[in-house]
Amino acid sequence: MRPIFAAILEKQPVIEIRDLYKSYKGFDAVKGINLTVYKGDVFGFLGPNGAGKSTTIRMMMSLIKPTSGEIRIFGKLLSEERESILRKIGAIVEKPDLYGFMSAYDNLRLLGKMSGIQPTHTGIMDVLELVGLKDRAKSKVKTFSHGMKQRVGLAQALIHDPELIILDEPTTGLDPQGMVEIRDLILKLSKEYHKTILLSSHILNEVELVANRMVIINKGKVAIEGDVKELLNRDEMKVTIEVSDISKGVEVIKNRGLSSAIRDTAGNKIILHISQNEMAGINRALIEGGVDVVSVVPLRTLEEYFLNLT
Amino acid sequence: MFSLIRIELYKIFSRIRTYIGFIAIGLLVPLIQVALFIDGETYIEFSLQNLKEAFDFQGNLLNGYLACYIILATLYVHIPFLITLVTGDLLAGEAAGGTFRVLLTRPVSRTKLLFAKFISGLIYTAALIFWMALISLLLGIAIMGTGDLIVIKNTVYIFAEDDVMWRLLAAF
Repeated sequence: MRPIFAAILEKQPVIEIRDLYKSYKGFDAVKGINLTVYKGDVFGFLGPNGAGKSTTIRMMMSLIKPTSGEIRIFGKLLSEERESILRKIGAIVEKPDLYGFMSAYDNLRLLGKMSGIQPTHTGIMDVLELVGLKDRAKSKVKTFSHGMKQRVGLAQALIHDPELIILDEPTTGLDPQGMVEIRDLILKLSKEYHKTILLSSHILNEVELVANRMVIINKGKVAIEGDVKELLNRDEMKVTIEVSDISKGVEVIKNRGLSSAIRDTAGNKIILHISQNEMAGINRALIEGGVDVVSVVPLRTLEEYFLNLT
Repeated sequence: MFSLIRIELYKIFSRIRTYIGFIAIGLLVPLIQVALFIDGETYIEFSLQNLKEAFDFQGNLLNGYLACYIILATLYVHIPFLITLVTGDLLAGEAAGGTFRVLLTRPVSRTKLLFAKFISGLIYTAALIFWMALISLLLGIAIMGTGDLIVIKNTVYIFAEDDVMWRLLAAF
């Protein structure tokens, strides 16, 4: 189940970034990024730490100024119409820090006001319910766990019902359960509330599960851009097969005419480069040839590529 | 703009540390006043011993105005500390805590945001000073009554009773 709005709606750009550069003294953090996020997208913004993700997001939120290049959001230039644009964006930038001495409820009330709305009691409670903090509404934020703080952070990004939601590594530091909750919430926001979402992450798997389009950036440049399904389901993959008898196993594979597919052997492991539909046949042949298959670990090429980056 | 200031003020006055200043003044000032009330005569005797030989002082010298003057002269060094406790948090505290970033992602211009913080800092300072003026004057007068104010600096100034009030208020 992936968001399909991008396909149904006319492709209407929400974020357009052209030739974006950001240089600090003696260091170029972002070197000419181009990307377009369309209405209804859940857009994965991937890259290893230090690739320039946060810098780009900070420029999108006008926290810092680009050295050169252009950012258009909702078709308007960010440098010219900052306030009217920000009114329609909700964001978590880096760690979402809120006022620990105030309750979750009060935090949302104040930040909602600052976003140009008059938050109603039901409005605030609805958002808190959405992030699963309804019964802790009146507790002070400093008493919250990390996961709960992250969810209030998400709530402050949603309080003014923005059209575009920008989340900078929203699952950092969360336990697996917390990650699942955030992921479900992102899917819900996309499907039920029809929000456009830009999600930055350094975990490919996380993006794969929610996003429909993505870019991978590395060292300040876009390395790969495209449709998540297409990028990840390319035929070719790298498989590590652990067998009981290495020489027999290699022989079986060679007999299938795949000797060129064998990239490496180590211990009892054979590393193969094959297309996806060959795997089942190889597995059967190994077992029929009297070789026990201990484990099969597939690694898709994009995954491998990404691992090499990080 | 007005609502920004209100938000800043709400933040200031929903913290415990904001009231430290009020509590500190609320404790220190009466303490000084009670001490003066009990032992103030000695203090005046000591300050005026040379003069007493030559002049005859009349009326209630140990009064609320004198207490207020002494308090002002002693505490004006400490008040800025109390103020910094709160106003320092307005910007530096928020920047360090990361909440400033959350504010900057709001559709509010930075100039307005900073100006709102400045104004609310001023309002807090004014409130603290007002509080100090209130208890040091009212409580002082309640305990020790009114009278002429004697101020000893290079020379001795004696302010008439009906001339004192505005001078003290201006001092605050």
